[in-house]
Amino acid sequence: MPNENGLTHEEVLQQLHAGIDMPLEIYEEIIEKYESISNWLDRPDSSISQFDPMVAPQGSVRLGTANRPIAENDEYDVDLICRLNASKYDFTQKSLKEAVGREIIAYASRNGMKKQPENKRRCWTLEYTNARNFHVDVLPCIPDVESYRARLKEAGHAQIADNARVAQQAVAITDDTHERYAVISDDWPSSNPLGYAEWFKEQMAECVAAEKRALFEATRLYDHVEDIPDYKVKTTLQKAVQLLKRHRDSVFGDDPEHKPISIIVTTLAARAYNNETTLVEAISNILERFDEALEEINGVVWVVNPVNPEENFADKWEEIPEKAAAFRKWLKAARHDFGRYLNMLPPHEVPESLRARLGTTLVEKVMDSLRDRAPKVAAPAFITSQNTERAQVMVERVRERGTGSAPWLNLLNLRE
Amino acid sequence: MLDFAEFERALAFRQPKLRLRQTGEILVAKGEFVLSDGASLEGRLDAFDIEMLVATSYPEVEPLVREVGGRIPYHPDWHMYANGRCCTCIWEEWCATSADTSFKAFCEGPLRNFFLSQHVFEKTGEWPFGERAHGAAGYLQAAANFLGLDEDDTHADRYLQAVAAQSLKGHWDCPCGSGRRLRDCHYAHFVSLRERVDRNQAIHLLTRLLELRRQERVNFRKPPR
Ligand SMILES: [Zn+2]
Repeated sequence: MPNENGLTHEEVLQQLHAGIDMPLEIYEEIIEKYESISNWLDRPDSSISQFDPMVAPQGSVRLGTANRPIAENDEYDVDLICRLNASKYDFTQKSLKEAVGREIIAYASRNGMKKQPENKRRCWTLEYTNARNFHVDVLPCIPDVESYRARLKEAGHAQIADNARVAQQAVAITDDTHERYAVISDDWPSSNPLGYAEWFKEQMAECVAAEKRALFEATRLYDHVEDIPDYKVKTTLQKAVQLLKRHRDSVFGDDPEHKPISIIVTTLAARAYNNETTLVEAISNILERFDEALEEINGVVWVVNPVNPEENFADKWEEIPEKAAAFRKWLKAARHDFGRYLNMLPPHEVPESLRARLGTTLVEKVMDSLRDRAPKVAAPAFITSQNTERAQVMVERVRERGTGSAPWLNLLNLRE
Repeated sequence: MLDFAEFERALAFRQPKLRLRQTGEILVAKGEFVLSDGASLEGRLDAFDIEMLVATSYPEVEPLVREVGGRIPYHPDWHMYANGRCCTCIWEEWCATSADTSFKAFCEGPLRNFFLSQHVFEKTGEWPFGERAHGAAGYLQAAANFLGLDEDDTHADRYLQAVAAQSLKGHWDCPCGSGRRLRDCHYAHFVSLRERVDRNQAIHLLTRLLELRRQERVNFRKPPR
């Protein structure tokens, strides 16, 4: 029998994913870090404690799509938001940025951090250089629910405006290049990173529920399924996004300037995802349909922000065509590399191109750990004896789908 | 209409050994066509060297598929023309009877079926999804299939006429060949048949069938003594 020890592509992909996934203890370390910042901002003599500051992860850490860095010593990138319960009359963008900054600087010196926090265009950056290196961006912001709703409704997106879980997370952020940065104004840049995370979660809600139920039943660590934090479970969509991001990082390893940004990869993958329960099916479907959600509006390519359809995640592509070209180049490579493995080769034969993209060391480690599962008989010996049976199975599947078709011959074309 | 992005969506992942490009209005795929059933424990089943030309006006024009590896005999019995062109299916039949006529559906349907059939035929001498008779006779079988008749029903052309007609007339001879008037025979049957199948498709198939017959008569009549 071929493969009686049952090694499958699914198992290999799952193992490869486990090898690139950000480990749980890192999640826990990040939670410690932002809770510590949160406690500092909220302490009685904090200059902003009256605004009830809330610090929470956003971006890939929140989405559960963060990978380990490629090199062992590289830093982990963490994006946090710091939301003050204040209004556009309490602060200018500048005074909000500075109010949060003062406390962040105090926090850094209090904790003996070697590098002073850096004042970036929209955020403050903290560098942790301990046992592990973390690069943490803190985004100061204030709630912006009403104007977010109004703007969306005006633009004809009532459905998103009425989605409370998404809309309630809308915020106004600061930008030191904004023309009204230093004056009291209604006109702030808006954003909704936590609303986006809610949208992303909705795209895989079935799978999240199933994974949580499975964990609940398997561990008895929790009294209720609802007590399980999101980061404890991982869906096939999240895993697929992580594998694709790693592939992308490696394709653009030497030349990251035009690398497709993560929010584009994540959005397109989530759009294509169709509740596949296996990683093989999810990656296959996502790669096939990946660019289906690209829209062309008046000759401009759009990757619509699902929680703000007026925003184009690919807004730089028009001005910098190299970015669009880089996206195409990467998609082609990803389809080829994963496609070759999943459609042409047996599970124990990860092709060279995919090995290189996901990390040769990692792939070798995984294949080593699965070595005893690879078939012991040399492949060609059984393949010939099994082929007729395999073809028959493929024929049966076509018949079941009712998509059989019979060849013909047009006699008139014989004279071609 | 078919653009390059959709062409790639249908082929780039499932057929990693095909090189895809566009030349004007023509989309070209060249290389190895892999016969596979997805992530299989044994990898691919077989592969054929092909060249496929697809017009951007798809599905208006049938894709042109050639086997260029010499793996299949270029002989009518293999449904191959002398220039290596493959007759994957009766295009109008597939278009009229498939729920999905997208290019991806063509790739996973007639295109894949053709090479899977060749693989099986080579091993067993049988066509797993059947084969159409050559020429107009095969087209008649296709018409029967379209109408839901037995595929060897030689009255399919008359049935097709009754479906394609603007309205049914009771005084017609019944297409079933009983010799009775339609109103005294299969009238109700044809009323419901006309509700089930698309009349425009029927007209299209009938036109093509009659055209094929006419051309075959012209081309293959016995040479004058
Ligand atoms: Zn009758």
